[in-house]
Amino acid sequence: MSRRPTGPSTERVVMLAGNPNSGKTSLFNRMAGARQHVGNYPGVTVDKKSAKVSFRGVEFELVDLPGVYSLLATSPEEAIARDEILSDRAAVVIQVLDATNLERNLHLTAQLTEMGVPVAYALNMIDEAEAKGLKFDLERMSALLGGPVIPTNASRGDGVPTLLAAALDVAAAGQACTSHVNYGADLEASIAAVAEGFEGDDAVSARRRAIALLDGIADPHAPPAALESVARELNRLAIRGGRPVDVQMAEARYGFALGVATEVSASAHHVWHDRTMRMDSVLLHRIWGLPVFVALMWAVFNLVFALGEPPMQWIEAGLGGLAGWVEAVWPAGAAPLLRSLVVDGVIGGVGGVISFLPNILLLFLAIAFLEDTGYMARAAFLMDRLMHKMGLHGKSFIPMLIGLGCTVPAILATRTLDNKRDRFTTILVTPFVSCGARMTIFALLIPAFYAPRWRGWVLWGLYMTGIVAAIVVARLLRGTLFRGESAPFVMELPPYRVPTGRSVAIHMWDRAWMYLRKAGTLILALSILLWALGTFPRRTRFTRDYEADIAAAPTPDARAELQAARQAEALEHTLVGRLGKWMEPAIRPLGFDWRVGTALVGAFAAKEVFVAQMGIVFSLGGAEEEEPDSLRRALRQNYTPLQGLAMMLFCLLSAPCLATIAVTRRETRSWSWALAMLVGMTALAWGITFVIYQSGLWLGLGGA
Amino acid sequence: MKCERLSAKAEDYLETILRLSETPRGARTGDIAEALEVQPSTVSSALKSLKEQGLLDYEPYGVAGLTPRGRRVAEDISGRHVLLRRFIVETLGLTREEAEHTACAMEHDITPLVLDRLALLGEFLRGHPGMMEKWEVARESARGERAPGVESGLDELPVGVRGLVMSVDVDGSLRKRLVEMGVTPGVLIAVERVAPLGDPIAVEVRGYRLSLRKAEARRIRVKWRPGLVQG
Repeated sequence: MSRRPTGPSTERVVMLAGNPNSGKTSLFNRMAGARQHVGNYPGVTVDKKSAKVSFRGVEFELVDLPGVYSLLATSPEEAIARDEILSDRAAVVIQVLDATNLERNLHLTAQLTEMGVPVAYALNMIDEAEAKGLKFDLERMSALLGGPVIPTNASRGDGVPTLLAAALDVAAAGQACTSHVNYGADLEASIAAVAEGFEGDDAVSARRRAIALLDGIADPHAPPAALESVARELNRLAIRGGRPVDVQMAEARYGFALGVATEVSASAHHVWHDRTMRMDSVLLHRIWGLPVFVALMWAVFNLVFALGEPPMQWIEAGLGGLAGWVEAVWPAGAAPLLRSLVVDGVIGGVGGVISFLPNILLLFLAIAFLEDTGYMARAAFLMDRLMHKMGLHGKSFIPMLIGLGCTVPAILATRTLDNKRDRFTTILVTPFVSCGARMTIFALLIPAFYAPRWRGWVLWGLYMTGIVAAIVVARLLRGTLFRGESAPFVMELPPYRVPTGRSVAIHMWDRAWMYLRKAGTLILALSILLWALGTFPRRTRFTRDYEADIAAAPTPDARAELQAARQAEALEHTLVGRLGKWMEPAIRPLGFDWRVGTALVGAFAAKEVFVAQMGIVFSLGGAEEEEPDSLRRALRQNYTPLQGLAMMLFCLLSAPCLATIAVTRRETRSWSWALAMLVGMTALAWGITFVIYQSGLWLGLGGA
Repeated sequence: MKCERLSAKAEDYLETILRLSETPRGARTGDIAEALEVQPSTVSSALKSLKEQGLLDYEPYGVAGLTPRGRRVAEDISGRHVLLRRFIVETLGLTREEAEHTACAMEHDITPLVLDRLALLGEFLRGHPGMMEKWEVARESARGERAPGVESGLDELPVGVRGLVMSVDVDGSLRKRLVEMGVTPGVLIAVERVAPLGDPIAVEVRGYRLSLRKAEARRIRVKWRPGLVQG
């Protein structure tokens, strides 16, 4: 029966399988503690959590499989769970069963028992079920399910050592699960007929592959004999059963699930979640549901950005202090280039990475809380109609909301979307939602060009333009690149549960660490690259002898002016300056000159750099903070309001900052999507700005 | 069971006299006969018998008046009538004729405890509009245009009414997803609520909650099963 070697194997892997919301991850956290490692399964954006665990002298690897409702491999998560279980590495698979909802959980068990691996079961949330008066006949249950059944309470840790001991016993025995579903005479006859076609396979694997074929899952390695008989049997079954074969198979599995559930638990086998009903009647109320949602989202947004602001400033101040200290202790005149690299490149780059950290930690805290309580599914339920019209999913709402603050955490927040099409569409359109950094550009330019009574309208118009662009592009992507049936919105609304601080903290820290390690290094590297572009080649000969003139300057003001002029000349000479000039023919039709071009190249590092760069090219030093008015005056003298609008529009829609590109690269696991975002957005921005600017000129709005 | 009470007929007389004696004309034999649809001679003998039991002050061809004891009995019976009628009209949602007819028949035999509980049930439902709403839906689906056993898409199943899944008429991965979530033919399903924006809907199936869009729910055929959903 068993196809695996008995006796201790060198590489013991204990896998945790189960439905989403069954408490699987809490159980994993209990067993793995702080030793866990979060990675990715190759080629997909599904987290792989594993840990080296030592229990009573036995060392083994613990793997948390993705939470799935089925092992049919119709989604990436299901395919991974199935492949991992079948990979021959599994010494034992522990299925986590939610004792309050045994029937649906046992549907997965029905499939798990066919895998031919040793299994054990954690009857989790036993406390909740018992509090509701449910009783389980554990002995009967393990006889029916072909593996030990251990009651656990993962959030408190009850039963975990017993579970591990039982699971390791099963693993040591190496006996594959012997229980299996009886599909009924008709289906069983077909399964047997198809299984005969798999000649090289043992009985368990032949049966499993026959069932998969009858379920309509393609098997590229199936022998022709099996394929032939499956076509014949599918035909016969569809006629006899009067409904699709996969439906009949699911019915049989649920028959097994219902049978086991009623047999092992005396009265009812469901817990009626009164508390969830009561909470839903408020949180999903026809009238109050949406206001409550808006209030909660407001709270999330403020938590992430308002509460994140002070630590962000401490980090920036700390790094500023560090840079100042380096400058102070650096031997005067020694290796000025290295000093610039350390101060502007490295410290600046590290700042670019970790100044996001408070926001990201808080965002993941909020998301972990929303997910663990069960409200995340409700948020998607409330917003789905709206987002579906945009070609997105209900769960796309939260990332887009976070995008109003900063695109980087917003893209990380798309991890809650399960479907790749929905997720990628959301990632690609989120940068259109105007972020906080773009606000600094608007705050500089709007007062420079517009009368006070128009300012609010211009700002409102810009934000709306971003949102409309997101909607249009989302629809466009869904109609072209991500065509195909829209992801079905078939989502469980889990019972509300009080999250444990421990699981929220682990959840938050995992994600934040992943961001630091994966996106952080990329952001740092790109920052240093951008520093190099803004530094080289260095100007050695200036139009005048600034050193002498500065030394001879009569007043501090004159000295500062000369310093700024020197800085402007130096910038003009660098690659960034040259890029600006080189870009000029391309951006001329948008109403931009080389100075704007230079600032735009700088804005790629971070949108707010646009303001600083404009200050430098207008020879005002980096003094935008002290004297925004003088910069505004300079802008007013050099550009028309139409050009100002063109600049803002371009900044809104064009290439997002490099941190966004880096995060997109990480989250989509491909440079092509990141570059597509960069090129596509810039092209779109160019097109729209061109149309607006040129039609403005044509309408005679080009004047001051 | 020992039963110390007046005959149903006598109670009818007392109730009618009570009602008529509140009119300016007072309760006269002719009017009583008309109200109860009997011969005036029958009325006369009945009144005589009631007088003998000390329930009535009555002289032939005069106005019948209730004694204090008679009034108490009549008021009691009239109270029961009103309560029953109200329960039938308001709680059961039946017509006034139906209520009048049934109340007349029930008021004599109903025990105080049962009457009490019926009244309590009516009051409870009125005090809990959410429950009342669910009950109304269940009630209407039981005898409205959609008779029990009517088939429709899951999206048309009213909130709080159970349906039996007949078929899942979708293809491909969506069908797989639905059946693996437990929406298989033969399972009982109920719509729990509709999202504030009108879509999607939340259903209860196999002891848990599932949300799906109406466009997808439409293709799940259900047979209506009148009766309230637990909870």
